[in-house]
Amino acid sequence: MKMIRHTLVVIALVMVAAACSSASEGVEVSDPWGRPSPSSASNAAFYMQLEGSDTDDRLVSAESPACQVVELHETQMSDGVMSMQFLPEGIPVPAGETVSLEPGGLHVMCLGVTEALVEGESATVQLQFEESGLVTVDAEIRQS
Amino acid sequence: MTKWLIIVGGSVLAALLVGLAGWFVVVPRLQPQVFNAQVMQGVDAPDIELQGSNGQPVSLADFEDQVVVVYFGYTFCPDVCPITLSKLARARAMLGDDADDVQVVMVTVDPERDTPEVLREYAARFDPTFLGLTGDPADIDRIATIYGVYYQTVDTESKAGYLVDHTSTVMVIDRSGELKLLVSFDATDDEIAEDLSYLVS
Repeated sequence: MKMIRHTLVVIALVMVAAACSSASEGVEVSDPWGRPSPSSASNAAFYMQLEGSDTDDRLVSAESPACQVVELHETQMSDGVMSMQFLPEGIPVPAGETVSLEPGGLHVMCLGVTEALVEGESATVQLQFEESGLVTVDAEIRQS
Repeated sequence: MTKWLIIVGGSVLAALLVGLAGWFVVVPRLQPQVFNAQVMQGVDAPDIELQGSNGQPVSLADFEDQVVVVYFGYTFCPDVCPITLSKLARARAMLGDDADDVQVVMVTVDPERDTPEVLREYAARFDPTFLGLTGDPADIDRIATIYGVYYQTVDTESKAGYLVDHTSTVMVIDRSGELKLLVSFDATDDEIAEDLSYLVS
């Protein structure tokens, strides 16, 4: 009986551990970067890869001490005409999928650069996800 | 009889020589230069007279005998415009000394926000020789229309206030003032450099 109880406790602990580890595995952000930009009323963009976890998630907003306002945007090209869409609903990151934020597509838009983005340095960007919570990354400042 | 042979033989030889010479002179010229970009034929580039980010009035005529690369964009644009301008800067850098014969100008499609000062700082981010052009909205409208460039101010919920949809194509004017190439947004640094180097050489 004691043996069974011990086994149950062990099983319970393993399950708790498993639950904890899966909960902490949120969206993984890799290769965050942006182009150099002086500090002025100018705008900039940050790019990165968002690797989905095992649950559907969504990048809902972002902030950065280097920008007055940060928004999520998407560039669309149609017949050679470029248009930029503001994404008030954010960027969905489906489970198990990788979403690329890259030049000419989805991007984190930095409106009003307040701290110069200097090549070779980095800028802090805080990403707010629906499920994964707040993820802070350092975007490398480079040309491409 | 011998005389005839000399005349006929001589004529044939002469004809052959002329033909051969012609083949060497004309054929290389007839061979089409394969540009990476879309080639326009025989279109004189309409003049552009606007206010330059250098504080001076700028006209296309100022760049006589240079290759002029014209891009319509705006400084508020954080994605496509920097991509294009940094590609042009890298392509120009690849030309070495010939780069002096290439002038890149960006005509703003957002004259309300893009003053010469704003444009100067923006253009210099990519290449100190790049010129931004701005002016009266009606003049910009007219120039964009004759260059076949579409742009449209779009209101948005974004804090940006408004954004401008615009044609992303880059236009290249050759040394003789002809609108020669239309470079699409997808062109690579290498492709642009190759086309420019042919036009400056």
